[in-house]
Amino acid sequence: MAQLHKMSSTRDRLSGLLFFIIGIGFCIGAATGLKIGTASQMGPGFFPMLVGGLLALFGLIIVAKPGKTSGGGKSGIAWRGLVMIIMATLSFGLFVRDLGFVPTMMLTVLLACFASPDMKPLIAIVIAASVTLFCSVAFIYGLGLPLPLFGPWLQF
Amino acid sequence: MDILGNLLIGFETALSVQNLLFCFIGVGLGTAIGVLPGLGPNATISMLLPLTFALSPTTALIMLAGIYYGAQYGGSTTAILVNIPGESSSAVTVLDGYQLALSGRAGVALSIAAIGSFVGGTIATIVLALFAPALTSFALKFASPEYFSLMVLGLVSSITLARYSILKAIPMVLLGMLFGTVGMDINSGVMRFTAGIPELFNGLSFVAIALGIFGFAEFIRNLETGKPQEAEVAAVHSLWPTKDDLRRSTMPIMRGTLIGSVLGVLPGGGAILSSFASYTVEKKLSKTPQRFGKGAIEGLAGPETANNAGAQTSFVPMLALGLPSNPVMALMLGALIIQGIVPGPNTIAQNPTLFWGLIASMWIGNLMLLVLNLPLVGLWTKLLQVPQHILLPGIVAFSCIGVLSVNNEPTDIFVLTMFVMLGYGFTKLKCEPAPLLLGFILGPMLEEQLRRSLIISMGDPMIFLSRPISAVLLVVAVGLVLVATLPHIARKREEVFEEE
Repeated sequence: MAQLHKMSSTRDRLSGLLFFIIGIGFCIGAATGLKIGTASQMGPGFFPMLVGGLLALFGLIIVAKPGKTSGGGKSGIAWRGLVMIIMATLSFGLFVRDLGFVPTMMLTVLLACFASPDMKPLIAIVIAASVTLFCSVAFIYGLGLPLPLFGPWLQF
Repeated sequence: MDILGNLLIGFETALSVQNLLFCFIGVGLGTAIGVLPGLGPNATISMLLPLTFALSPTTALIMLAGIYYGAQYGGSTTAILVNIPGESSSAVTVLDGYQLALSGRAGVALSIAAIGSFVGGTIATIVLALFAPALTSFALKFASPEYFSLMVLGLVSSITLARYSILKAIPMVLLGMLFGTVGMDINSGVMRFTAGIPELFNGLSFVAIALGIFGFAEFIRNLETGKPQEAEVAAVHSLWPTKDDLRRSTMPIMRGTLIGSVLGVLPGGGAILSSFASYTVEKKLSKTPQRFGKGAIEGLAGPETANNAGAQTSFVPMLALGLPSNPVMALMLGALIIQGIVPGPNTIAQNPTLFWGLIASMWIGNLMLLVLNLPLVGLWTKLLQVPQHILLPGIVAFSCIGVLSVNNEPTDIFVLTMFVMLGYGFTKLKCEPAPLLLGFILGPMLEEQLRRSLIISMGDPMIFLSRPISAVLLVVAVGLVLVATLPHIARKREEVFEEE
C-alpha cells in the first residue's frame, strides 16, 4: 500500500513538473517574442502569458501537494509498441512525398506490425502488402488523394 | 406547430439518398470499429473524422453522429459478449450484461440493449427538437462576458467528469488552450509559437491532436498487457426476449430515458454520467437489489437506454450554444469548425437543414441500428475474434492517411507523432486527456470573448461579476469545483470511475 502511494505521488510530482515547465515555457515565449499589451488592449502575448502563468501555478501546486489517491497502475510502459508506432508515423510523414505512397505505406505498416510481440514476419508481409494495395486503390484511385504512388526518389 | 414544420424539413433532408447512405455508412463503420475491444467512440470518431471532410457540413454531421451512436452500440456489444467495456459509458453494461451472457442469454441482452437504445434515442430526439431552439432564444441575449463565463462553466464541468484527479484535469485544460494559441493570432496577424514553420501558421491540426491523444494512446495502451486478451466470446442463441424480460425492462427503459435526457443536456453530462445514474436508480428502486450484478435485466435495460438518450441530448448545448459538454461533442464541434460552421445561438436559425436534418437522421440512424445490427450480431462477434495485432497495422495506416488528407501536409503527421507521445505519456501519468482537447477547441474562442469583454469594461475584470447572468454562471462553475472536491463526493467519484 505504501508502495502504491509512493508511486502515485511520484507520478503526480512528475506531471506537476511537466505542467510547470510547459507553462513557464509559454510565458517566456510570450514575454520575449510577443506584445503583451494591457487588459483593455490585449496584445497577442496577453492570453498565452495569462494561461501559461496559471498552468505553471497549478504545476507548482501539484508538485507541492501530490495526490494520495489514484492507485497504482498495474502495467508498465509498452516501450516496444510506443517506439514502433512512433517510427511508423514518423516514417510516413518523412517519406510519403519523396518515396511515394506505395513504398512508404509498406514501411509504415511493417513497422506498425512489429509493435506487437505476437507478430510473425510472414504474416506481417502479407498484411503490409494487402493494406498497401487496399489503400492505394481506395485512397489514391478511389478518393483521388493527390500523392504519387512512387515518388521522385524512385524515378530515374 | 412550428416544430412539425421543422421536423418535416429535417426528414426531407435526412431522407435524401446521399444523407441516408452516409448515415448508413457512419452507423456501420461506427459499430464495426466500436466493437473492437479497447476502441471507444473517441478513438473511433477521431479515426473516421477525416473521411467526413469531403462531404457537405450537414452530411458530415449526420455521418459523424451515426459513427457516434454506432460506436456506442458496438461498445455495448463488446461489453455484453466479452466483458470488456469498449468505452466508459458501457462500464455499467458489463456488470449485468456479461452475467446474462454467461447464463446463455447473450442474445436477449443484446436485444434489450438495442430496444432500450432505440426507445431512449427516439424520445431524446424529441427532447432535442423541443429544447435546442428554446435554449437558443435564451442565448441570443448573451454578450461577450456571458459567453466567456459560459465557456468557463463548460470547461469546468468537463473537468469534474475527469476520471483521475481534478487538480490534474485543470492544467490539462490550460495546456489545451496554450496549444490552441499556436498559429496566427487573428487580431494582430502575428505568428505565435510557430518556431517559424510556415505549415504551423494555421495552427496545430485538430485531427492530429485528437487522434494522437485519443486514438493512438489507446492503441499503445492496448499493447501493454503483453499478450492481447484472447476474447472469449459468449455464444448468442435466441435474440427474442421473453414476456417477463420485456415486463421487467419497461419501467427501467422509461426511467432511463428520463434520466439520460436530463443529464445529457447538462454541461459535463452525457452518456457516462447517465448510465451510472440510471444503474444506481434501478438498484435503489428494485425489490431485489441482490440480483444486480448477477444478471438482472433491469440493470442492463436502464443504463443502456440512459446512455443513448444522454448521448442524443448532449448535442443540445453543442449545437445551440457551441459548447461541447463532453469529448465526443468537442470532436463534433471541431469537425464543424473545419467545415466552416462555428456553432452558436444563430446556428439553428441560419442552418435549419443542418440542425433538423441531424435530428431526423438520428432517429433514422437508431432505427438502422435496431433493424440491421441485431441480425448482424454474428458478423460483429467474428470481428471481435480477430486478434488485435492483426488489425493494428491497418488502423495505424488509415490514421496516418486520414491526418495527411486533411491539409495534404506531412507536417501534420509530425504533429500527430508529438501528440502520440504526449497522449501516451499523459495516460501513464494519469492525466485525463479529454480536457486538453476541449481546451484546444474552446481556447481561441475564450480568448476572443475575454478580449472583447475587457475592451467593453476598459480592462476591469469585475465585468464578469457585475453582470448577473455571467456572475451566476461563474458561481455555478466555482460551485461545481467545490462540490466535486468535497471529501464525500470525491470518494464517490473514485468508486464510480474505478470501473475503468
